[in-house]
Amino acid sequence: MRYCQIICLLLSSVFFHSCSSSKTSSYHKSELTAPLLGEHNTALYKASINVFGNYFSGLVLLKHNAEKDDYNIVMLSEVGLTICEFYSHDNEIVLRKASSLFKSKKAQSVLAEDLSFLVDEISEVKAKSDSRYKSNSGIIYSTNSDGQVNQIRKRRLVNGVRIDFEDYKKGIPTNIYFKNKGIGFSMKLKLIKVS
Amino acid sequence: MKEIIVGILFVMVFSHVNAQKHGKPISVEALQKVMLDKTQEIVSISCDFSQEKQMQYLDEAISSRGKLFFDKNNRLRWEYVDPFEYLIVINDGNFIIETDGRKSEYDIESNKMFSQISELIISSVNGTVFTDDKFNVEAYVDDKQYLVYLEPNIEELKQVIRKIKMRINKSDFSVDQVVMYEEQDDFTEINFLNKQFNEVLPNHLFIVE
Repeated sequence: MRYCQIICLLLSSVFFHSCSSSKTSSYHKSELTAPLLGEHNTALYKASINVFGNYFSGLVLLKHNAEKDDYNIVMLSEVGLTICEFYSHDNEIVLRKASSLFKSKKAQSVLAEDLSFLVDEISEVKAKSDSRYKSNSGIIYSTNSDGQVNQIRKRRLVNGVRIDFEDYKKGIPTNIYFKNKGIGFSMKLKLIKVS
Repeated sequence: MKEIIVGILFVMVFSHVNAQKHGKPISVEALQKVMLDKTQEIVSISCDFSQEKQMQYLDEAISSRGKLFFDKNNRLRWEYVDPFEYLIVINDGNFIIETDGRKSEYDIESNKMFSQISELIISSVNGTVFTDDKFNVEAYVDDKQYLVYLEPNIEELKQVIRKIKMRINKSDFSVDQVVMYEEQDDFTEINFLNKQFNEVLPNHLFIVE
């Protein structure tokens, strides 16, 4: 009985401690910016995609329209044919067009979410440490010494995603690695051109 | 009233389409015969190519360039060198893609998609694409070139390409330009430059280790 009392006391002290620490670090307006595109209008990446051991490649083009503050994101084959096209505005991404070569609804939705992390505005976050932040939707952002996002993580049992951003040049990452857990989907983007 | 407006719009669109097809209409069969005669003399082609992808909302095209080698045994090497490296080799019933240091090999016979892509690439390069019954063909001629318009008539191709325009050189009957139109006026233009005919092409060009 005495042991039960001690355990209860310890548990309640841990509970109250965790509540009080979360109060000291509340959500506030984020100073983090989306990894793309900064001051640029257009970025072209070479994409390497691995789905369940099958390898595909192509190009990913991101176009920012500063007036409307929206993005067009297009995936195309190296020979020039459009595979799919997304439109993102106000943190909402929609599929505008998909070729008959890219029919899978599941693949379309995974790709849409992965790409949206590149351009979505990071609104409110809570500091977990000097270089780690958590958004109110549970997304964890890590930053490098220049304050640029170098990792985004969304933890989920299935389809959690981790995105690493490397080698920022002119404010834009040169290499981006996506790893989706539980669905065997990974993608690497390598910057070809920015304007 | 609605019918009249639709009618006017139809005439405007139709005349616009016709206005784009410069040149005098010619018999597809006659051009096909000359092309087949001429292409029989060609043992190999090697050339540079430049590719530009134009999209509705882009201020500038996505440009790339590379090298192409083709021989009479329908072996092809289509190699992008700038701004990315990407290699397609078609040889002995295999469709091979190499990029990022990875090689993927597909058997053309057992893979319908690669079979169609392979046919399309080879027939575009050797100029026999307009003998293919998967397309409805129209041909025109002007002072310098033949213009051939191809519209796919099978559903699988229609979903990928709306129309293909080819410019064929009037003096040597080689293909100067291929333009692939997709939906909404997006298109990819490929220009073949510095063409060399009937050079000996080493075997290693068509082998991917």
